[in-house]
Amino acid sequence: MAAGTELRRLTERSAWGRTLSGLLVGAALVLLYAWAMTGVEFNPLLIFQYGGKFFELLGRMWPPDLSSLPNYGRPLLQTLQMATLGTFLGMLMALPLVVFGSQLVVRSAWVYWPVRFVMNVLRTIPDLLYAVLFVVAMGFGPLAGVGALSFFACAIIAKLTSESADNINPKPIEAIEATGANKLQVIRYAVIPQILPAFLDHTLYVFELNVRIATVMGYVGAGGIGMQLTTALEWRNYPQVMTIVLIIFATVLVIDLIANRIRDALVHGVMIPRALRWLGLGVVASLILWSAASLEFNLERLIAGVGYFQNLVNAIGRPDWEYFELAVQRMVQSLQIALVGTTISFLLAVPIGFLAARSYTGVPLPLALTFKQVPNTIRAFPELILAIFFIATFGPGTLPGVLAIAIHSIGMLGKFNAEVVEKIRKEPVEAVQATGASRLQVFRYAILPQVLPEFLALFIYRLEINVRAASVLGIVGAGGIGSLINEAQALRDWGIVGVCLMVIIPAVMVIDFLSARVRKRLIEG
Amino acid sequence: MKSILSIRNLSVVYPGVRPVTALENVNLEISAGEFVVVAGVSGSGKSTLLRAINRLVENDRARVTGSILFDGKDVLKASRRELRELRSHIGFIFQEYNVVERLSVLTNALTGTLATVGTWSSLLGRFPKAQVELAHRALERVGIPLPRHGDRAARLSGGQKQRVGIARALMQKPRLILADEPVASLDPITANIVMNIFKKINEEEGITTIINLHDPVLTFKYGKRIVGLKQGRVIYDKPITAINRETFEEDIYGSGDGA
Repeated sequence: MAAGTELRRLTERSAWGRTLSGLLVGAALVLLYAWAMTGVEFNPLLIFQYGGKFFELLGRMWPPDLSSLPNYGRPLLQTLQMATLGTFLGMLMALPLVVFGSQLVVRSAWVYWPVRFVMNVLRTIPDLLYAVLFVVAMGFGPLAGVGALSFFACAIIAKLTSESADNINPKPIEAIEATGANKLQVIRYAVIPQILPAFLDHTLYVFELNVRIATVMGYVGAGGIGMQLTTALEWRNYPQVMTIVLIIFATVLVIDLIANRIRDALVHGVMIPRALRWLGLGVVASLILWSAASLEFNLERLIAGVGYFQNLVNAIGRPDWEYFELAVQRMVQSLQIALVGTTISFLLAVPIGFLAARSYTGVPLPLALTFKQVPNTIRAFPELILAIFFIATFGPGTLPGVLAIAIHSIGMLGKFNAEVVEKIRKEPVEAVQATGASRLQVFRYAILPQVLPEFLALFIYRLEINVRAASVLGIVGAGGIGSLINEAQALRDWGIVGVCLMVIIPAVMVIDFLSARVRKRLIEG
Repeated sequence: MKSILSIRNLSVVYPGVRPVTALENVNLEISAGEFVVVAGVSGSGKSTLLRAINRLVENDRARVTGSILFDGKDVLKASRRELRELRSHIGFIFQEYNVVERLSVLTNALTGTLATVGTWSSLLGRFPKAQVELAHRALERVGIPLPRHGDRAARLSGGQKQRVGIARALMQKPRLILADEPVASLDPITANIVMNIFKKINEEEGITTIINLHDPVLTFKYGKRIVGLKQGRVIYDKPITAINRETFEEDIYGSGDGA
């Protein structure tokens, strides 16, 4: 008896407590979004009112100016060369970071904590910000692009691979140590073979990213086809703009396709015949050499660049604290843009995820395949290009930033959401069906509990990425702290850029940290 | 017989909120050519004993006191460089085989020579021709046929991986073999095959061998001298000829009640 009342008391209290905490969370969310939406002056009416202009703009771009096509051959090649060389240099820089940032390799905390800190700082700086910094240091042109891409590549490869490296098997390391091998030999024979597949996989993934970024880097003067895009936009030659956008689109799709094939082979551990392996290595090596040669990559310019870079670091090292408050304000705006944009994207991507996953929802095959292509297609349009289009439609401001992020993120969210839906376990669904529940009830009690935590984790992960994106989209006029960087660049006032870095780096670090914590709790339940 | 390993007052403590004393005041004298089985239940300190001899316990941040003389040199006082030199004379075999799965069978065997080949050529993946030839022979000797030497180690079965582990140790031309539960993850038949390999190596080349086993049947079948460990202390140490078969299990493992 006593136990029964005790139990009832406990359950009643927890039910009441749950309602209360539900209400609190709900109220907090309403406030958060109210704050964010006012911050970015988000007005759906505006979208309907001026949305027509977007199609008008597209109309003016049609038909694309195919006669200009031959002019873009060389810039396109340059773009790919920048991505190749940048990825290669980034890979070389990342390897020591990964090895010496691993607790399994270096047992001294005095080594791996500093290395990990450097890795984290490198990763907080968004792609285009690297481009701005390198253009300042090395002057206009593709070499600045290579520099920026290599740092960006290094940051991502190091981060992703060191996450894989934390999970390698420590036992073979002991075995090699026990033979009396020295540290370098242990790394070569027990560590590298274990991290190599993940390392190459991440490198290829970063190459895909770098191709996307390289196509738009020209916007800030870092070489590649983006320079042509900027010129065409300035002259308002819309058919040419369309031609370039289509070229970028096709290039990204083709590169993704090839890279994905190779990555699949790597992940599945396919044994590649020796001859083919050497051939592949030869092809990659000659691509790198060819890129280095045609970009006139020489040591002298590199050394001169390092000199400039010192000046830049000195200038940035004296931040213009007068602008601190403004920088914080704009950073907050960037966060708001990321939040609103990612949320819109999430709302659009959830139904796409269900529609693209044929195995469960029973959507007819052709429809599912169509929906599966939607995210892939969208992903091939870099955010920056979307932002430029939206700025041409709505004028400069936060709205284009929000929309660019909302649309671009559908690519990743839709793709991964579909993968989550495809992994739904059938057993619980059948169990609920067997009770005689309606379709909606089955959805609520058997499907939603399986997918929601993963959907939310993906949403938060994307938010983390979008915070970086939102802090640079301002460089093309889409609001946030990037607009301040843009103004500073125009005035050549590096102290302001310094302040911006001082604000962006900790802000992104905090967001990354929180995101990792929340995602861990979501997935582990 | 000449002593090859002499352990005096060895204690090992794993630090932590509640430090764990894994070995307490262990004294052992091992002569060259002996075949010793260390017996005991799990947690008795068998692994710690072997891992202390080549100082792998340092990877677990253990505190080691006492002395371990291998060939007259104190292992515990050795510098990093001296330690690598000492380790190169001691072949170590692990319960989980610890082969590098992404490397080929042959390369796994060749890692046994890392301490003796040049650092730079080994970093490039090059080994002297003579060593490669020796590796093939070592692998064949432990029962891995030539056609499989180019396979990735990941494709081998457990028993075959352990054979590769033994070949790796043989490549070191060891003066001492330490095997930590080498057959605990294998089925009984394979376990006997692998134990026979150890026996043969010991008999043919006279390499001193110390093997940890938790299985009384295998212990009694293969041991020529049996050392019993219980809660970190040596409680039993007899040559096989002096062992009373009736009380042997009771003596080492104990029933726990009343003992």
